[in-house]
Formats: sequence, C-alpha cells, structure tokens
Amino acid sequence: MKKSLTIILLTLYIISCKDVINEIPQNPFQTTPYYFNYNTSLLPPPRIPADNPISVEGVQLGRMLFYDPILSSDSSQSCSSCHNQKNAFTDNNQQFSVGVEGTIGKRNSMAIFNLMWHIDGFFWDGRSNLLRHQAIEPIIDETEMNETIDHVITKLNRSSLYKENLQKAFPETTFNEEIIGKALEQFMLSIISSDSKFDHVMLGLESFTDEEKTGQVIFNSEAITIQNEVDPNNPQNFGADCFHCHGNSLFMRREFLANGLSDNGDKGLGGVTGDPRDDYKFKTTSLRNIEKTAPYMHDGRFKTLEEVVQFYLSDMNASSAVDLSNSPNLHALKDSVYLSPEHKKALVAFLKTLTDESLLTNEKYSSPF
Amino acid sequence: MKQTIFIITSIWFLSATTGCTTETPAKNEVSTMDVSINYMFDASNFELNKEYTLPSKEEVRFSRISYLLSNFYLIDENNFKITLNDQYLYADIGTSKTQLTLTNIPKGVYTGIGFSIGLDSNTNHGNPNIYVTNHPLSPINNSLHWNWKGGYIFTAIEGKTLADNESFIFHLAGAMNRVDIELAHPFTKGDDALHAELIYDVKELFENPEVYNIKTDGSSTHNVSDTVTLKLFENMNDVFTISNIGNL
Repeated sequence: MKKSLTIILLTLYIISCKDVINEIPQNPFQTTPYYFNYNTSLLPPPRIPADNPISVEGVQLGRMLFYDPILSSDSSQSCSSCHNQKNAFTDNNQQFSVGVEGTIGKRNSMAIFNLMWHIDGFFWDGRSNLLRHQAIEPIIDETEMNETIDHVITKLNRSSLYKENLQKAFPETTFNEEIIGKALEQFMLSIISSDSKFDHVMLGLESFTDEEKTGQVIFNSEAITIQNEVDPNNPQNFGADCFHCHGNSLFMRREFLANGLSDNGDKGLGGVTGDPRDDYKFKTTSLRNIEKTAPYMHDGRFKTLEEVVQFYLSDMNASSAVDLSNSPNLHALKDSVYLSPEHKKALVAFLKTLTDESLLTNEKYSSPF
Repeated sequence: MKQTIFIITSIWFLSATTGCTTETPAKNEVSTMDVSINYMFDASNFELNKEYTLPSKEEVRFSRISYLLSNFYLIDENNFKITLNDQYLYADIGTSKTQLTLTNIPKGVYTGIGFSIGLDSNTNHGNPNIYVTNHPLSPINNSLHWNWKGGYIFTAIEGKTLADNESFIFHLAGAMNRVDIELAHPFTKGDDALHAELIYDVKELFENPEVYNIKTDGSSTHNVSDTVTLKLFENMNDVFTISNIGNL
C-alpha cells in the first residue's frame, strides 16, 4: 500500500513538473561560438541569423564546401572558381564566368565580404532573400555548376571527411539542402573586410595623401552640371556625387537602384518582381575593394575604374535605359558633369584606399585543402 | 504512515522550491504608447507615386519621403516635460515604416506630447556603427546617413515634377535645423497601454509660412544652410497634427 502510494505521488509530481523536466536538454549539441575580429567603430555590430548561429565548426564546414569542386556536376568547379579570394572573391577580372559545361553567364561575379549587413536580397537582381538560398543557386544553375542538390547530398553523405565535419557543426547526421546552405552561409558571413587604408585613416593610424584627400572630397560632394559650373577649379564647386549611393561605412546602400546604364536586355530587379518601376534596378554594391573587383557593373561592361568615373560624369540622359526623372538619386549626375583630369585621378586614388589587402590573403578565408 | 507523511512533505517541499506551481500573474501596468502616423495630402490620404498639385500649382509625384524622429517627451499637467530617452523613429512611407512603440510611459495626467524631427548634435555626429542593423539610426536600415560621421539626413523628400519631367531631391539635414514639435492633446495614463494617432500632411511641407516652388526655389539640396533647406525646414513646423490619444 505504502509502495503504491509512493509511486502514485511521485507520478503526480513528475506530471505536474513535466514542463520543467522537458526544459532539461537531452544530450545537448555543442559547438564553439565564432567570434568576429574587427574594429566595431568601423563596421556595425554583427548581424547573425537567429536560426543559424555562427560556430567555428559551421564556418569550417562551409569553408570546405566553398572550396570543394564536389559541388559541381563534373567535380571541376567550386564556388571559389568564380569567387577568387585574391580578387575580393570575384572572378579573376572576367566579365562573365564560364560554367562546367562551358556556358557563359550573363552577369558579373559578385564580391563576397561584409554580407551579414546585406538586408534586402542577394544577387544583382535580389532574387534570393537569404544568403543560404543564394548559396544553393550556383550549384544547381545549368550555366554554373550544373549539379543536382540530391547528387551533392549523396556525394557528401558518402564522404567520411564531410560526415565527420557535419557532426561537429550541426545536430544532423546526414546532409540535406538546408544544412549545405547554412554551412555556406556561415562561411560567407564570416568574411569581413575593414582593414583598408581608409579604415586606418579613420582610426588615426595612417594619413591620406593630398591626392587621396582631394578624391575623398570629390566622392562626398554633390556634382554640379556643366551648364551650372562657374569655376571648375574651385574646390567648393566640384563633386562626383558618389556618396548618395555609396555613403555609409559599408560604401553601399540597401536599396536596388537604377544607375543610368544603357539597356543590355537585363531588367534586374524588375525581372524578379514584375513591377516596371523596378526595371533596370540592380544591387547597389559596396565600393570597398573596388580596385580588385574589375570589371564593373552587373554586366562587367567597364574594364577600369577610370571608365566607371567617366560614365558617371557623361550625359546619362542620352543613353539611360530608364527615365532618369524617376531616379532622384541621379539628379545631380543626369546631365554632363565636369571634373578635371586631375580630379578624376584623385577620385580613383581615393577609391583605391578602400582596398583591404588582408582580405585578399587572410588564411581564415582561404582554401582549407 | 511516517514514511508516507515524509514523502508527501518532501514532494510539497520540492514543489515549493522548484516552482512547479502555476501562478496567475498579477495584472501589471503596461507602460507603452503605440504611435501610428497617417499620411495626408490636405484632405486626402497620401500615397507615393500618385499625382498631387502643390500649393505652387506644380504637379508632382513623390517617390520617397523618409525622416527621423527623436527626443520624445510628455507634457504633464504641471507643464513639466517627461523625457523618453533613447527612443527614435525611422519613418519611411514607401516601406510602411511609420509607427513605433514608446516605452517607460509613467502613469499620470498629461496635456500633450513633443518630439523632434531630426537629431541633437551629439547623436547626429556620433559613430553610426554603434547601431544594430534594425535600429532606426542604423545607416543600413534607414539610408539616411551622410558619409563617415557626416551626420544624418533628417528628412528626405524625392520625386519628380510632371510638367518638365524633372526629378527633385531634398535631403534636409543639420542639427541646427532640427524641428521641435509640440502637440497639445490631454490624456491620462493609467494601467493600460496607450495608442496615439498622428497625421503628417505632406502638403504642409510646401506651404505655411511660405509656398515652396520647386522650379523657382530649387529642385535639390544637400546643404545644411542654403535657402532651400531653410525654407523647407521652416515649413516642417506644421506637418504634424494629433488626432487622438487613448487606451488601446
């Protein structure tokens, strides 16, 4: 009787406390938190997806996947084939990347760094909201790696190396599409660039040359059109108006914008949303490391920074794919703008201060193989 | 029997100390005020990319109106200001970011609320990288920051004039131009949350005290002290009115 009573009371106790008992984790999965190493006065606080916290093991797995041609159908290409670290993770000065079948893409390979602060979509046309989704697309794109996700999963699950690293990084015991995306996301989010000469100047560790200083003023000054120009040599009276779209510490803007390029048949964001007001709008990319990411624009039409500067100063109204009256961000640039040759050179010199050599060589971001 | 009493006592003790009992939380005071802002153009609801006739008779379409509010405070019945520190609103009509929840509202009887369009000098020129990405003052979030420590755009107004198909872009800034708004409306804060409804009349930006003519007064500014900036800031004093404050 006593025994029965004891059992009943204990059962009641356990039932009444079930919420508490359920809160005790069973065999909790442990990873090592990943700490970012950058000066927080230069870039915003980290922005990590709540459902994909960054761990040392997750970044390592993502890094392996990023550099491994196992993701492509013929094992000839990895993500790094078109996103080379020494070019700020762009494609070796190529206008368009060539896929495993020899197919040529239609957009220029995008740089990879500081991606955690991109909040309005990835790709030139913004078609992926999450970086983990973006990471999968080149794998299955016929013009890129031309592989199926099922086949990739099979290959990874067959590999003891990958299974071992998977079990360190995620609770799952086998690969699936979400895990592949999340691991690649973690590695790409870990790539930070904030160690350029510009950053050093901001921290008081270096100084700009006189030419770079002039270039910075030009970058941050509003353009004055030729017809309104009264004294092109007056330093108060010149500018290239770069800051409107590349003004914050990331040198980018979250919005997708039209920048006055002529039509090459690519409608950019408009092709994704179907809204004509989005036609010819493309991602406003960062100017950090711009020296290393040639050629420029979504279609790589400009080979040099000098060509880009000349484009923005030329008469956009004459060739723009969009009615520039609908693009107030180009208000000051839509007509021809004068900059002296010296000032153009100074602007390019300033842009080159945004190059972060450590990004290009940092072993944390290089191949683990 | 003794053993049974011991077991029951032990269970009671365990239950008491491990918090297994479910208690109904006492009714707590909710110290918040939800503020929503409705956009009007005179007597009509305002929308971006729709045609409007300004007081200058110019026909226009707006593509962006964004602004920053700060320095929120309440005015109590003794005319004291109760400041609500570190609370900001980044409003962007295009993305429907037009509401905020003010917190730490003390119980009391009030005669109105106040806030500023724009920021004080220290906040304006502080390092914007301290803000997480979804903070109202994050430059990534609001696209209202001018360069490295160059300060914020307090109000951005962009669009086009239809007669000549020309864009206009007014980026209005400068801590000295901050517009302090005070709206009288009596209300009482008790236990319950409050809801305030404000109206932002876009037409007021272009009149009162002076009619603004885009063609003759200027179609762009990024200068903190030119006549375009000063005139539009002056007109900003009357853009806000209050329609209601009450319990949710």
